[in-house]
Amino acid sequence: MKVIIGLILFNSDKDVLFKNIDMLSKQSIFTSPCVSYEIVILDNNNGKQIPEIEALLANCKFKDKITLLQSKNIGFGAGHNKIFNFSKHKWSFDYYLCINPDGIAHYQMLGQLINFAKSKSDNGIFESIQFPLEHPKLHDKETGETQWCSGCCCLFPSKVFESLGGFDERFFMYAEDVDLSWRTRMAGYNCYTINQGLFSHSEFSLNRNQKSQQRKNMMIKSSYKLAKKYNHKPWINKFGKKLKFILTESEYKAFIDQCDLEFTTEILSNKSSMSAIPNFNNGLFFSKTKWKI
Amino acid sequence: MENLNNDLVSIIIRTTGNDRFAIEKAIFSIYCNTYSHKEIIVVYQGTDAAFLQFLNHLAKIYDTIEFNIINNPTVAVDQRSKNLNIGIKNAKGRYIGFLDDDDQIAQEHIEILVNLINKQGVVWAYSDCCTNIVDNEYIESKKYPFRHDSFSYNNLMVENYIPLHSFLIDTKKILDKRILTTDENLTRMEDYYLLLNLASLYRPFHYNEVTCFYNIKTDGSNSNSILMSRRHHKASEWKASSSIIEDLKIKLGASGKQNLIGYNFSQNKFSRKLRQLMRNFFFKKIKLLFQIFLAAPLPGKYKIIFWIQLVKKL
Repeated sequence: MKVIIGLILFNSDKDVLFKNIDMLSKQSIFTSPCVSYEIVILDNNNGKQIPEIEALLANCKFKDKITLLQSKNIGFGAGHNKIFNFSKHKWSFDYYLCINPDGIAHYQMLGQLINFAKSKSDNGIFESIQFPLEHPKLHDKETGETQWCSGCCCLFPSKVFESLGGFDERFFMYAEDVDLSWRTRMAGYNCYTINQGLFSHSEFSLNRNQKSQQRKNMMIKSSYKLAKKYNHKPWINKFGKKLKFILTESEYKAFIDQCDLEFTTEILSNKSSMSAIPNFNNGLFFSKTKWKI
Repeated sequence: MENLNNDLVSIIIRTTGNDRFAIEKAIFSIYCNTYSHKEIIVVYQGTDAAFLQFLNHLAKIYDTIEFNIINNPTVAVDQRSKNLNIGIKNAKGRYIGFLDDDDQIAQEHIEILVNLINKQGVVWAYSDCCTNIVDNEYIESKKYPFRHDSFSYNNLMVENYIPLHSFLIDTKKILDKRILTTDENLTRMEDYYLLLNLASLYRPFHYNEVTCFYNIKTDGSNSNSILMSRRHHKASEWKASSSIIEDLKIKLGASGKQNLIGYNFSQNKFSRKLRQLMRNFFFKKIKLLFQIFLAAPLPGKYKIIFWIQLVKKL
């Protein structure tokens, strides 16, 4: 069994990144002789961080397991698709782990995800739980089923990822994971959260106000695209209005025109199942939440 | 975030080895902290060789940080106070923090508190803490029982509202290191004893954001279970410890609760809530009167006279 671990960088914190790679290489499941792995890192900032990473990894035992790629900033989803396609041509593998560089995997995380995936015959996508500050979206206590899986740290059986065509590259950042999860469920698979698979993800920062504004703007753009894709008129109006506040007039016009062009040719093959799954009723959580935020 | 210095931070975990996954999570949360120079001191009270082996295995996994495992092989009695003192005695760091074996800290917890201690020039700092109600690794809900606006020594004298893992101490600034110990006769509230001594001499800085997590298991398997039956079982232990704490309070100069400033308002949750409601009502009333007054078609000087009379009345 082979696992490909894909990370996208864009000016990422090197200390956290190194810890993450270190822990990924120490995954307890890799002590099994029948499990192998490759880590593929794509630097979305034209490879500016690659020399730094090469220096960091120079003395590591697992450096031969790491492949470094570079690209212009093509976004999150397109980046992961690129890693997946690159890996497909190079290796034969069973699972693709999409993981953020700003978090750290617990050393048993991958084993927990793979064992759970196997127990479901790989029919689904499997996210680790964010730790210690958990994402508030609801998941079933017994079965682990959830409305959508975060792209922050998610295991895809390669056959599932391939059959879905990967992430929708029209989303630059945010909501591409929601879209992929909805498509997963529409295709008859399930989304799961694995309570024992821990992924430490940073949510705290003293300069978080600035960060959250950028994040908010990006989120609004992606939410508008998501609404366009699933033709959800109330959200198109709501986020269209919000876009006017965050963009200049020319930027707004260009963005709307681009979205109109990109999403007009959308062909929805199964309209009845489509209407049942996309959930626009719970705001940007896209699911009922376990507690109030 | 910028690190103001890189002095060693020691985080002390005491465990009896009951829940391996819980201690794994606690240690993992320290490892993931953005502050790089840190050591973990695990004081294990017990004699299970397999558990010690497990701890050594964790030390190998997290080999980029210093790891010190200390075994207290006593099993007959709960020596949590002694274990705390053992941990503090063995801490090599300038800064000392704590973590119960079933709780967690956020990634930037240590960095935030170290930076605040230095920027604010205080001896200790603490952050807010969130309580997770956990059922079989599943967080069912969150509560914020420890949230207070700002530090109050009087409130601390009444009840301990600062969880052990929410604060960090700069030991370099403490003149009399004896305050960094707790009474070993305590089988409960040993952290409260330490805090009272510390707070009686040094005022902390309060960081008004949640950076640590306190877990309460619904099945009663951790000591602060919401199942009251378990608490009743240990009523005698609580009583004995309370008596030691009361003696300390007397020693620290607050001999009678009634002598504490504001005690009558802050002694229980109900009266605190009542005070808050009264305050809200008072401000709402003023705000409404002011709005009516501004909207009234009166010449400027009458408005000023009206306003002065209103203030006098209130």
